[in-house]
Amino acid sequence: MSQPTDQDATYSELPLLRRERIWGFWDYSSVNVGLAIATWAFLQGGAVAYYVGAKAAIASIVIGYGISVLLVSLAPCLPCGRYGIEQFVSMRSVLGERGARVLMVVMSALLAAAWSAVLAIMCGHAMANVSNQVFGTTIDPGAGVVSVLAVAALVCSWVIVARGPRSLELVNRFVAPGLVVVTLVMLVLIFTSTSWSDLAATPALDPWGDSRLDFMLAVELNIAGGFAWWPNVGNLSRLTRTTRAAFWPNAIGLFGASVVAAIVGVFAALALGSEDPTLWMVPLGGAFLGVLALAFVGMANITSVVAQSYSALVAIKGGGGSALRRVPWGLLAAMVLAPAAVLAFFPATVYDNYARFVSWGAIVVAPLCAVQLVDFFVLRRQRLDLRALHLPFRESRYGFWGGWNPAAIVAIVAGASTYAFLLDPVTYEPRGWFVHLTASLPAFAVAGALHFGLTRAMLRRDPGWGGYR
Amino acid sequence: MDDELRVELDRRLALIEDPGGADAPLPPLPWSDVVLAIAALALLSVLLVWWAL
Repeated sequence: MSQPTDQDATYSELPLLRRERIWGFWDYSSVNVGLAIATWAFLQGGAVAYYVGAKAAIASIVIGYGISVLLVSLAPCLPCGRYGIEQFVSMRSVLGERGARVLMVVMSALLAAAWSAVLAIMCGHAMANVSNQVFGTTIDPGAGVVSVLAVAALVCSWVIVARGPRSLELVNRFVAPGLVVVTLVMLVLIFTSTSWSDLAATPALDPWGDSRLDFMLAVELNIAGGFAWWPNVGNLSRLTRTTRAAFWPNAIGLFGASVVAAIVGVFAALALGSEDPTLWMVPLGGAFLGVLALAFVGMANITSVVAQSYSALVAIKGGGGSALRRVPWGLLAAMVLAPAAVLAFFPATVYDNYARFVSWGAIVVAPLCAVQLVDFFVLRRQRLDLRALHLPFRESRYGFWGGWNPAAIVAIVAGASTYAFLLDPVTYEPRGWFVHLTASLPAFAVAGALHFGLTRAMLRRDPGWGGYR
Repeated sequence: MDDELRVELDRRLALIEDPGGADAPLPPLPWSDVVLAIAALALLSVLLVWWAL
């Protein structure tokens, strides 16, 4: 297995040549499934079970994930897949060089760290439960041991990610099929202990009481869950050999695998009355199978942290300036994972606020995805100037105003405000037309329409604006 | 950007910008694929809402 070098474009923002693209359809599907089927999909299912019963949950998961995964498959996957460019480099044509750099720091440093922390803590929970079963210990979910185990998971992730994307591919070749087996075994075990009619009749864990509002909250949670892939998938899809291989595997992994795992999560949460996936395995499978499944799912979380970290690392290498570019890959990987290690010492705070956390991501990502999609497909008709993307903003046709695109920024802020108006991100309390529209979809529509309108207005004043013509 | 990286970037851009070259950008995804994905999702959504609610 090769060690990363600074000349290898898969570790930097350099555009990839076709011969350097390492993933075909099934390779990317395998990575995609490995990324999607981590226990965050089970946790997603557990959160959905709070609001709706089994049938409405299935509909909300398919519809919610379907919408947002389709949108992120269009942008950023297609611009990055078509041109082989790093995701945040591609965003320079949308936000300007400085705007893209700020976005990169926010996404990579905050969201990637937070997601890695969630996964690592869940891994810690799983390992603690294994210990409780096998060694008879009584480790509490909030105990310091869980934090230590979470940090250990992050260290394992660092060892893998420091070896680069080929190790990611190899790990996922084994882990992804194993996770599919675990999920299907869980499904079988659920239905050996309960019937579909009993499951369908089981009420939600903690609904608001208005069935339509509860359904829309579940749909929103799933749309937000799908949008959470946005920071990761561009830098993965740029490694694919065809645009079809950049697009369709998302339907297998981010959509198909997530939907199946989330539905299994809903069933388990409803059947066992708990939203915590690490508490399902032993009651379902007994001591032996349960411990085996827990250990495997814990390991699978590590593969998701690895995929997440790889995307963040490529982004930081690309957009972090010359100082960060000189930092060795392994050291930079440690720097990316360090904030997650700090968060791991607050397991209850991170673990118990999953829905709010997903919602905070969607506030930014829903409008961002809309702006990128309108910019790439409608305003630029899928054509990017790669040379201009890599020039300093003063020399680039994508310079906008001092490296910032005010049209895109205003559109994103308006979209985020729309989201916050419809769904309070702090209390998670819906308002206004949320019950008819959700929050992510209006945020998406407002941001996309505003970016289109403002850009057309700018082009009427200055036809050379932003390199659109 | 340091000189070594600049040179490598320029080499890559020259290869990618060469029309008809082996390293040109990939062709766009056919619109029929996008339409198929949207249609499938819309149909599935309608069926599921009808079944579940």
